[in-house]
Formats: sequence, structure tokens, C-alpha cells
Amino acid sequence: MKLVVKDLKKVFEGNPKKNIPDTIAVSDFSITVNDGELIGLLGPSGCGKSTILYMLAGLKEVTSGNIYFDDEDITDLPSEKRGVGLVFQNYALYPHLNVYQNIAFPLEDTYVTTNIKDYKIIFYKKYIELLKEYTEIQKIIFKYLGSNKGDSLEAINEISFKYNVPFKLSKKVYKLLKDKRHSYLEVLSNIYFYNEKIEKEKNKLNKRGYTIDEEFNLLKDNKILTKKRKIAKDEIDLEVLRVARIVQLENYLFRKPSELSGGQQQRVAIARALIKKPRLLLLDEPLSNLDARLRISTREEIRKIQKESKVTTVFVTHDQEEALSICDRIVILEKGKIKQIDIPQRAYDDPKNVFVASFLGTPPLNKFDAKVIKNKILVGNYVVFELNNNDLDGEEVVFSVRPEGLEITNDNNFKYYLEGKLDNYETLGRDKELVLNNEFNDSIKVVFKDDLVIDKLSYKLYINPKKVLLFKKSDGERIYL
Amino acid sequence: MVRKDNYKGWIYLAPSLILLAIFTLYPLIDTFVISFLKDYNYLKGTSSGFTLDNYKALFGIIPPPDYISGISGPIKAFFQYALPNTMIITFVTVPISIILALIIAVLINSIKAFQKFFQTLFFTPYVTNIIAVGMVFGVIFSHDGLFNAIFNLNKYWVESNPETTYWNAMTVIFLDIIWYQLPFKILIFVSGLQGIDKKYYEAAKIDSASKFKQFYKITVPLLSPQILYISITSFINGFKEYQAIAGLFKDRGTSGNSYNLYTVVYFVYDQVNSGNGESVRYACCGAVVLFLIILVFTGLQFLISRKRIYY
Repeated sequence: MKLVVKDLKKVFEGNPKKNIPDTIAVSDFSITVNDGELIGLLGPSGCGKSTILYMLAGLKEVTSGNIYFDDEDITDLPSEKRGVGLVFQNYALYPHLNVYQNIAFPLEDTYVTTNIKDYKIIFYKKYIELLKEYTEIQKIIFKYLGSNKGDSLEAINEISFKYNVPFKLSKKVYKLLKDKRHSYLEVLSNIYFYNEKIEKEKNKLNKRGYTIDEEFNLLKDNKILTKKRKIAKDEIDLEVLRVARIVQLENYLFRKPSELSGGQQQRVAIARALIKKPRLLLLDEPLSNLDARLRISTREEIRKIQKESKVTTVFVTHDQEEALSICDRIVILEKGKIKQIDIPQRAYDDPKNVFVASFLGTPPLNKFDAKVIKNKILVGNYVVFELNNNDLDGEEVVFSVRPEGLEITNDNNFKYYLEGKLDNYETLGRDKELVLNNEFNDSIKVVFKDDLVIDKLSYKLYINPKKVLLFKKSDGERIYL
Repeated sequence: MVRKDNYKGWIYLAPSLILLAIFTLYPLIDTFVISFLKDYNYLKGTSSGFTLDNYKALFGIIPPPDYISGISGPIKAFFQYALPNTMIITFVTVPISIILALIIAVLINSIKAFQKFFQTLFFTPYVTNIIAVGMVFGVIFSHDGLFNAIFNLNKYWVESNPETTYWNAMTVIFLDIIWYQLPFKILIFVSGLQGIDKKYYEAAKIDSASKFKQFYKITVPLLSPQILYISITSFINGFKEYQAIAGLFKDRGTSGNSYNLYTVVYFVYDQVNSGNGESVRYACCGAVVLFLIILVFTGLQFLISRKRIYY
């Protein structure tokens, strides 16, 4: 599904009596998200990203602007009719329901319009198919038998997953086959008995003037009949099996959320959001409750699940690494306004303004207030850059260099430099960084090279002109060099 | 860590322990003992050994001794009226008041404006004296009272009158008790509801669960600890019912010398209050019977709750 948002605005009304002014949480928010795309809303706390998500979900009202799902305007549609799936920051799993019940919750009591099928025959056919596999199934049953109190449940669970059948059916098979004495003959007689039953059922239908096609649809006068009905328990079973497979929760269906790890709980929340085959999947900081290692593996999983289910997804986060690593495109927000929409690498390499440039990248960008005189950029008395022309003469600018663009080196490849006093040394695992200061910036970050010998207090920081980004001082817009 | 020289703790506890022992524990044991004493006289403190005769008399197996004046009426009424009435009152008022309180609490919780106002409004009956409440209900349901006037009826509800039927009287008792019991339950339920994370309802809304489904699939299970607490305490209170009847009716029954509105506690109160030292042992028997009933029902509720309660 294609998501189109036009001029979205959200104002939280203040209280004039108590002197609380209105707060504009989001304004001028327009975006087009293509079918199957994973888009990340990225920004610091309070930038309005969650508000946008809740407006898409229909849990917060829109002040002005429109939201379209494909070409349908759903701005005023209540959330239950939008067909969105939402994964909450703290998952909001129902604590009193087990994983199965949590995942199945959105499907219970819902109505579907389907072809009328003969479910008895489908059930018997499946049963016979299972019985034909009886040696395999007995292997599964005996694997669990006697090991535990919950052995029957685990065996039934595995049968259901392996053969993709509802639990009612796997229970029936389990009951028949758990007895070791059951011989091949007994299984055969069961197969024969249920084949008879199918024939009887078919005859009964024929007498009433119905016929059945190969997909078990009921036909009258060669017309397929349809009916609106409550979704059946067996159908819910199959859907739960489907999403549980996607999120790899096969062995946890009958546990309570409190018995699961954070990552598993999160997958339950995703499964619950996916079971209704939502048109739009919304993820509200889904990784913030996980520890660092789990966060990395889970975000890759989210990416995989999203690609498999091909559902259009909006992902909210304040963590740039998350957004940069898994999103197709990212939207960077500041104070409710879009600062840039781009694919992750380009947003990093080619930021449109100083906010985006300094928000993205760890360690962050080094910024210096500078002045242009003729074609030279000066930070204090240091000439740091030379422009091609005099167009910017007299302009106040923000001169900035990525940490990897400042080098402490002896071979003078670069013409210009700044000086800084050594302040600190930080280890970030693979990378190490030096923190220096001077009168223009008290925290200059420099990537540390292994061959460097720290033997002085003051260093010359040579500027790699290719890593320089220049912004207007007035509005923070990028000046392209 | 367990220390042996924990005498300091015992010294701090001593005042309350001594008071508890004197005024709670001793009377409790004494009640059991007295209920089994033969010919016990409360005023003289005399008895002649242990027996089951008191219980037999209470349950009508043997007649009560004829030297106690006016005992046969109440004793007969214990089995005929007091026990059934206690059960009927409990099993009618407790479920109705719990369900009503739950509904009112959910409604109060769902409104934004005037929420505090309604909360206070619904709580006021709790700080009113039940005897006073009973008397006001008595006025409302009197023959020329408000209730008859509004519904244009000509019925006798609370007067000592041949036309006051048993069920008329019981209806007023039910209403009085339910009205008086609602506030505390509402208070507990509202505070319980406010402890449920709003996220669950947002999630349910996204999952297109109807309001009704949200109520029975989310609210009721998550409120189950409060529901258990309320149902146990209100069953106990129900079994102990007496004040409502004393406040509503001037007598024990719908007509002069009838005992048909008797309850177990009413019986106990009467026998203690009779002024002759002989009937106290029957009061003790009644109290022990009530104790056993409450014990059994509370135990049952705990058993049921093990399966149904989510904490």
C-alpha cells in the first residue's frame, strides 16, 4: 500500500487560563511512502515523530492535513477501520493472555465474507492426510512422551507447525497415535472410516442439491455461495501458525508474556500487529527496551520480517544507527518539521542543513563559527578553507568537518589546519577518538590513528577539504561548495 | 537473618498483642467453649460439663429447655428464617452490587469532565451511618412514602402490617444493602481501573476490539485481584448482615410476633441481649455456625481464584 501524507499538522491546545500556550507538535509534514517501503522517522525526543505515528494509527486526531492509504482519504477514519498494525514501545502485550491468545486477539470476533465451504470434509481430508504420515507423527509424539507434564502440548504444537493444521486436528491425531500399541491396521481402518464419512457427507449434500468443487466450495446451480460469518477457531489457528513462523515463536505459543525475554515479547507484539495483514505497519521505538546486542539482532529481524511480509512500514526511533541500518529511507525531524528525507547513506554524506549534519554520525560533526573574507574562510585567525570565488564575501558561516576529516599527521598533505589542546581519549571499541579543545570549540572530536604517538599537549589538526561541510549561519542551510 | 535476642521486637509488639489476646483471641476461644457447655449460665458462670445439646436444640433436633423463658421462638426461627435469610440476602445483594459497582466504576473512569465530582458523589453513602440510611429507606418505602407515590402503588413495604409480605420486605432490604454497599466497591474498582495501563486499550482499539470485548477481555481479567478482594469481603459482610434490617424495621418480622426477617447475627444479638444468662450459649452456637459458613465460602473463593485470577 502506498501511504501519502499531505501537510499534516498537529497542535496541542494550551490553556489560556493557566497561561499555557498552544504547542505545535507537527507542521507541514508531507511524505509519500511507496508500497512495501520501510521508512524511518528519526529525530531527538520531542520532535513529534511519535505524534505522527499515532496520527497515522488514528489514536491521535489530526489538526489539519490529510492522510491517504493508496487513494483513500482515511484522515477521519477511526483507527479500528484503518487496518494498521502498531507495535508499542513497551509492547503492550496483554499480561493475562498467553502468546497464542495475544497474537490471536485481533482476529477474535471478527467477521469475514468467504465462500461457503464444507468444513467437515476439509477436516476429514486433513485428518486422513495426517494419518498417512503416522510413522513420522509417532516419532514426534514419542520424542516428547514422558519427558514432562506438558509433553502432550509440545507434541501437539510440533504436529500443528509441521503439517500446518489447526490444534483441534493435531490433538485428535495425538490422541489416536500416542498409544504405542496402535498398529498400522488400526490407522488404516480409521482412514477407511473417514473416507466413508466423506462419501456420506457428499451424498447428503448432493441430495440437497449442492455440489462441491475441488477446493471444497459449496456450489448450487454451478454458482459459488458466499456468506458473512465469524472467523472460525481453526482459521485463527492457521493464521497464528503463519505469523508465529514469521517471527520464530513456534515454541513459545503457550507461555505468558512474563515468561518471555524482551526480544521474544517484542516479536509477539510484531506478530500481533501482522496477523490482520495490515495495510500499514507502525513501529514505535520498538527496540528501545532491548539491550545493545539484542537490539542489533532484532533490528535485522524486523528488516527481514518486513521484507518477507512486504508490508509498508513506518518506524520511529531516536537512534540514528537503527534508522540508518534498516530503513529504505529516513525522515529527519526537528521540532515537528521535516529537515530531510533521503536514503540513509545520502543523508549522512550529503546533509541539507546543519541539523541533519550534526544529528547524524557518531562521533558527531565538529562545528566552528567562521567568517568568509573574500574567498577565504576564517575561524578566528586561522584560514581553514579556500573557496573558488568571492561570492560569499563577508558572510557568517558554520564551518564543519566530520571527525574523520581532521587529521593529526606529520606528512603535510593538507594545507590548512586548526590547533587544539588534548583533553581526553575515548575508546569506542573498534574506533578510538581524541577529544581536543580550543577557543572556538571545546569538544573537537578526532578519529585516532593507531600509529600516532601521544607525546604533546597541543596538536595541529589538518583539515581534509573533501570532508568539509559549510552551512549558512543564519538559517543553517547547506552552502554547496 | 534470624536473631535469638529478638525480645525487643516482642516488647514493641506487646501492647497490641496483649490487647488482641484479651479482646479478640480470648472471646473467640471462649465463644467456641461456651457453645459446647451444658446448662451454662452467663450471669452465674456455672455449667455442668460439655455437650452437643446446644447445637441440637439450635437445629431443632431436641427442644430447648423449657425453664428459659421466650427462647423457643427465636430458636425455632434460627433454622427456619435466620439461616435461609442470611443466605438469600448474601447471594442476592453481593453479585448484584459487585456487577453494578463494576459498571458504574467503568463509566466513571471513562468520563473526563466531572470525574472527581461523580467519584465523590458515589462515595458519600459510605460515610453515612447504616442505621440512618435504613431509617431514611424506611420513610421512602412507608405506605404514604415517596416510592409508592412515584410509582402510584398502594403497597406495604416496611410497616408491621398483615399486608406487608415477606418478599416486599426483602426487596427493600436488598435495595438498602446494595445502595449502602456500592460506594466502597466503586472506590476500589475505580482505583483499580486507573492502575490499568492505557496502552492496552489503545492496542485493543487498533486491533478493532469492540468496547464490550475490551471490557470482558481486558478490564475484567486485569481487575481480577480487586474483584476477588471485593467478593470475599462482601460475602463476609453479607453473612454478617443485621444492621440494615434493624434500621429498616422496628421488629424482627413483617408482623407483630413473626421472626421472618431474622438473620444469624440478629439472632446472636438477640440472645446476648435477652438479659437472662441462659440464652448466651445459643448465641455462641449461632456465632460458631456463622464462622464455619464464612470459613467455607472464603476457602471456596480462594480455590476458584487460583485458576481465574491474574496478578
